[in-house]
Amino acid sequence: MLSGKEIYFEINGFEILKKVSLEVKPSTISCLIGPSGSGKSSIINCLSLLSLPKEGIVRMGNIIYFDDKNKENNLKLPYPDVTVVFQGLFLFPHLTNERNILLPLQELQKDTSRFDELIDKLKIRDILKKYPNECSGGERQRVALARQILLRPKYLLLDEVTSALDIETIQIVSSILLELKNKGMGILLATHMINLAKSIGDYFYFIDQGRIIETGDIQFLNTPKTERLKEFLHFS
Amino acid sequence: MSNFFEILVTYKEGFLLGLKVTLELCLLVWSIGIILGSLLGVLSAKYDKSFFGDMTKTVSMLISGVPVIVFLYWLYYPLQQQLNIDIPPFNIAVFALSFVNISMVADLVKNAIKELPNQYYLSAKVSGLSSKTFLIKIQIPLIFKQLVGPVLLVQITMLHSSIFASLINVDDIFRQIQRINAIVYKPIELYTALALFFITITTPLTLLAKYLKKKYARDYSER
Repeated sequence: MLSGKEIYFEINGFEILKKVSLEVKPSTISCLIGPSGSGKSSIINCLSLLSLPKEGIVRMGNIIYFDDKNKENNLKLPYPDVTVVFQGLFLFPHLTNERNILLPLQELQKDTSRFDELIDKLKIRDILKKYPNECSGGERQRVALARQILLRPKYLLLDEVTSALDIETIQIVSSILLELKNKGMGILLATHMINLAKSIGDYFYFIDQGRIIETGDIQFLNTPKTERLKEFLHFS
Repeated sequence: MSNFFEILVTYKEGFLLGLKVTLELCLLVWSIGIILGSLLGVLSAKYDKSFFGDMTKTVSMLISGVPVIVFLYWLYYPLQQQLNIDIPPFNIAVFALSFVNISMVADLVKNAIKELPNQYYLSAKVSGLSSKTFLIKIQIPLIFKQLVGPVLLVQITMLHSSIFASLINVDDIFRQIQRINAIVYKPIELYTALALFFITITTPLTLLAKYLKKKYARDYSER
């Protein structure tokens, strides 16, 4: 399990995350829902230790990788066992989409046997020889997803990766995520698409203004306790 | 026109000597500047917020504020006099111009590294790429695009600045031309020859900059 406990994070004195705790379990899709600016991306960055929290503990399995009270013993997370697909995607602009996907696989000598299958599923074969800036936002999202999925991480953190996809492609991505979950991968999906979260999520966190307001399984989305979540779901 | 070639042939030894000295000077200044300037730029980017970073920023600011000719004169006359040493003018010119070139190249390299979006580093990190792979396959190709044109332009500036070396008695092409002109007084022919020499060197450099930019620097902007 990948977990963050009591994560407190600030940027230039501004509180971004206020003692947030959450878990990403193997074979589970956890959904992080909340409005823009609520802290979803910051949670992903802190959980993947791309941003270091000011306080809190980040742990994977039995190993503590970050503990603000014991900083000298902090470890580097074993990327790409934990990996992230960013909202901004960050494909390397001087490499073709194919090189973007294959470079890490070849460097890490990972199995490429699923390459063709995933490329066809995500319908990106026609754009493999193109550069990222020659593709649409949706195409780039699929390339970025393919790159990280093929690395076969134990934990996959996804930051609004379906925002530029059409409904049909969201369905395809959903089925891929469910398949990965069934193979044991732990997935954290930050999204404001409630219907997507409802259709594939096992566990949910609702975050607002840097605080987890409510958590639970799909029931809590159907019967929200707090006014804030009711209000958010009303507008979603 | 016949006069022009007659002068070139008659004084070919002086011309060739001047050419040799100028080219030697430039090759040294270019190599030292690009190699040490790149290294210094990488170090400055890495240790920007340290004493080393502050020191390089101060030196760079001072160098950019002092005209090359003043720096050359200062090294050649007062400094040697104060230290009571005698360094050949050619070496002084190599030192002064290289110093300026190192500073300018280092600034360009440092800025190119610092302007590279951090997101690419994060992306490489979560994909499990090593620092070495990131440097070789991502960082260098991306900053090369930004650097190729400006660095070559700085080298052209160094070539132009090399004529100042004649003012501290370096027998470069400009000094040879002046010498020959003092004998034959044919300024139009002689300074035309000098201009042609500079065009002959700078044109391939400019074309090379364009070629490298076209070959290695794709347009990354949104289509």
